[in-house]
Amino acid sequence: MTADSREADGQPVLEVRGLRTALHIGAAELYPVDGVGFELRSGETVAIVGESGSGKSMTALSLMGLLPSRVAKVVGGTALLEGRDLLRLNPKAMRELRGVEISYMPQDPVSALNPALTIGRQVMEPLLVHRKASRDEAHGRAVELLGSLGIPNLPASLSAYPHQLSGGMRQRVLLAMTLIGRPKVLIADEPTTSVDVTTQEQIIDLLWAIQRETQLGIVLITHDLGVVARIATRVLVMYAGRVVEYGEAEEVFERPTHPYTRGLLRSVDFDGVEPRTRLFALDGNPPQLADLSSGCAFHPRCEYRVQVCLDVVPQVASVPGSQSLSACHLAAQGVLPRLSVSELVTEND
Amino acid sequence: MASSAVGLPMRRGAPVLARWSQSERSRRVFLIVGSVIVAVFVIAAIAPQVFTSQNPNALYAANPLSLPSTQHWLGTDELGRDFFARVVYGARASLTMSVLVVAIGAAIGVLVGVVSGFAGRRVDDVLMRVVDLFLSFPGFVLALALAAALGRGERSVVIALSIVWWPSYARLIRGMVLGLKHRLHVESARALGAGPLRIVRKHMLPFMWEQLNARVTQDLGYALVNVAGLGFVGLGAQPPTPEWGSLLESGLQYVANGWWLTVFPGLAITLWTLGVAMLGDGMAGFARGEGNVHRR
Amino acid sequence: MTEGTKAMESLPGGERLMGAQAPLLVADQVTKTFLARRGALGRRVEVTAVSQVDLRLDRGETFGLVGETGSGKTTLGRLVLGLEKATSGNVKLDGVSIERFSRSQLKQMRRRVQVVFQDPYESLNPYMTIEEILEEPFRIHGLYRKAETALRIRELLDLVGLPRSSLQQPPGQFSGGQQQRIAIARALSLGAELLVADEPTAALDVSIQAQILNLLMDIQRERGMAVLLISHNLLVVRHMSASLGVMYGGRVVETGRSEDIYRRPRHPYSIALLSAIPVANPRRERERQRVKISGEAPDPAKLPAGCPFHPRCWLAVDRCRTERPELRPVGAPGQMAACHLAK
Repeated sequence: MTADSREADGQPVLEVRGLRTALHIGAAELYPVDGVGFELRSGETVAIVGESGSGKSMTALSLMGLLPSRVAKVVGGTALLEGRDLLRLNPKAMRELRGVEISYMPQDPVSALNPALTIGRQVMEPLLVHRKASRDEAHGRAVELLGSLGIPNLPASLSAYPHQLSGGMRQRVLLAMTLIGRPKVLIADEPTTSVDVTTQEQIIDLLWAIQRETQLGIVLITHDLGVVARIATRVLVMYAGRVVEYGEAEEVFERPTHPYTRGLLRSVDFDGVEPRTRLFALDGNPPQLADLSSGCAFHPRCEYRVQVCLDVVPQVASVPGSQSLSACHLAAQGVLPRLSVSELVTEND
Repeated sequence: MASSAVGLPMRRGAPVLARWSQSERSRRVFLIVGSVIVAVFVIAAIAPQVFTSQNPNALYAANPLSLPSTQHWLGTDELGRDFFARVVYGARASLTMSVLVVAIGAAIGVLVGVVSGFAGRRVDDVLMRVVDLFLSFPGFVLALALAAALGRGERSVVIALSIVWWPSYARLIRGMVLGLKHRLHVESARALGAGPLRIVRKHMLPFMWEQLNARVTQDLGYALVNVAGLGFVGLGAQPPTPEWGSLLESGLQYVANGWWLTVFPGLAITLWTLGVAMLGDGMAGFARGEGNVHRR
Repeated sequence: MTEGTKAMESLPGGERLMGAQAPLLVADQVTKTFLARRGALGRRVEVTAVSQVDLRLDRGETFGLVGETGSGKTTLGRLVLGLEKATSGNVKLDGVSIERFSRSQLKQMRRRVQVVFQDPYESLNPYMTIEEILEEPFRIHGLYRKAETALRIRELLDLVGLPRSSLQQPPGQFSGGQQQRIAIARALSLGAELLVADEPTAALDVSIQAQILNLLMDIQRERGMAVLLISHNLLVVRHMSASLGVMYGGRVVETGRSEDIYRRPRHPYSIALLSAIPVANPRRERERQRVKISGEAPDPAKLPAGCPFHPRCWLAVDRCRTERPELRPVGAPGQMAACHLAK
């Protein structure tokens, strides 16, 4: 599932540079998204990984123009969707793109689905609202799409209501709603968090299959590193609103260049540790935006920190000897102790 | 969808007054004005001498129905009694009855509500059917019938109105208890071995204060209206004891030549209701735990 | 006692001498059903949350309970805690059935059996300070003595790694990981012998999960506490527990040493579950052999006849549809699976 196993299209379908969003809380102005950039080509998946407060969800909302306008606003950067800058579009133009060119799948299927409308109606809605198809055509498309996503008993199920469906089914309906307009890009916000692991596997396989068939570009927002490993082409790691690492999936997982990435990967590496012994754990807590440390936001928890980390905010830069980009003073100078995660893994299966 | 750190702001374009009334400053204004009004009334009820040296029952036979003047601030009534004194002394009867009604009604209601919320389905069903029975009667009419049956006097009014009052509290409390019963901190308390009493006291009441406070302050006004209503028809405090409802009733006959006899008791009732409501608004949100921003 | 419990008595464990110690906790054919209202018409249906489960937990041991939604693992945890009463079967603490406990006996039991829940914020009363929260167990059990309790509370804070300054603050001032530490401190305040940890890290950030798991392991070792770890994450359970049980549809479908089950699961559901868990390594993910199942976990109100897993099982034969499989020994010593076809 990496880039080299597929044909990459020439131009990126989504190109984000220097995205910056400001948030007003009381008198303070915070930046939950501060300088985010990445490239997405057709048929690829870019995973945005982070914990709470990392800004990954806000990034998605910023790109989709779905920020709560009274308190949050995009204040910098560009987001080119096939050449058009999403951040410069007026609300009307943006509305026309949503669901048709670029789709957003929110986190919780329970609250995202309207309990008063049938699932058939909700799945057809994007086509009807954008006047892309007649009622009959939309109906046909809905049946076809829901069928390929594994919804049984079609076309009868179209008259079902969300509360009659299980969690996994609701997630598929939500997926259908986002895909029916045949968008070029899908931004999926934590699509696997609220479902069981066996259902999660089904959802990921579905995304993978759809991607192969339609060359859909997926921006996957998640905190689950396992899911990222399964499906991502490229990985963007966020911390306190900033990018800390960006690179090809395999590279980031096997040769992480940023101490935070390393820490995360080691924390979930159960195979590399003897059972019932201490796990590797990062010190401290994820940061509060209102309380950001000076310099590198990660330095309070970093075992490698030096003085410059407290004073200067590290820029995203290339790392000698690696294809990835990293926002770490030490990594940029190539002085971070060599530590390959795969070296920790004992080959026992 | 939006970050939990983002609170939803007021809608743009909401009327200025509506917006102000939800602001911090308005709360403080309400609290102060409300407290002052309530304090004044309470003092009038407890120690009317503070406001007037006149005897409310003293007859100035030579001077009936006289206009408000420096001698008699609110004039005199048909029997020549100083009306200001009548109104001020009236606070005792009117307010005592109202407060008692709400206190007793709330006490019984909370008790029934808690029992209903905690007990099994059968007990709950029975209690709620009783509540429904009471709620199906128009409150004032029921109180009227009860008070009349119990005989004249303040005690009958208090008993009658309390009986009418408790069911809605029972319903409110039961609803809150049922909702809170399954919260994780209540489960945790159960798992620690806490009994129902402790759970209600420490783990439910704090969550109920805000709604209870809103209800009680509102009710103090409604109760007075009902008490005065019963007083109007001759139940409750008996002459010559002044009570705003009965004052209204007797004053009605002199609307043409003694307007102050109806205006001021009515004003008293209105002011009390307003003051108590303001106090309620002012106190809302000052419950402990307001400053607990949930960080994640 | 059933085959199941008898067979479980022979479960090996390095620390445990065969039959020498009586187990701390035994669940004997425990079943829990209750009535619920479902559907728009509010029809009453019988929900089977837990069905004929046998369980055994020794002193100082960690036992893991793995399952997805509807598996019954949370209900089983609540039964062990005495927060629910079993419909049939027994939960026995030191050989005494807790079903028959009086109110005060149950209260006494709470000093020995405690719980940590999934959502730390919800489990703490936001109107109380940390000091009040930690004092509460003492007050409830009449053990509060001003100076002594204050000392104990400070020791607890040290144990879970929180500063003394935390005492005067309300829970809302702390992060999720810190709140969970508070909840753990509270659970330990009366010297519990058995801790039920219901998804203790599921609601926490990834970088914090390892901290809390380490804390639990440290405490357990220090205090010789038994832990019933309930989680949907087999990897976590395997790391923390010497033995585990896999639950599906209210039943234990496989049980045995964690290592054995992890290396060679015998029940088809365990195989599928293990296969579905993604590993944080793209290359391994790509090269893995995976077994995929369709469908969803069964609704506890509408459990299928026979084996609860048969509608999704690729090995299912007629017998699976009609005859409910019992746990029987398969694979490594002590490993058991409830499957007609497992070997």
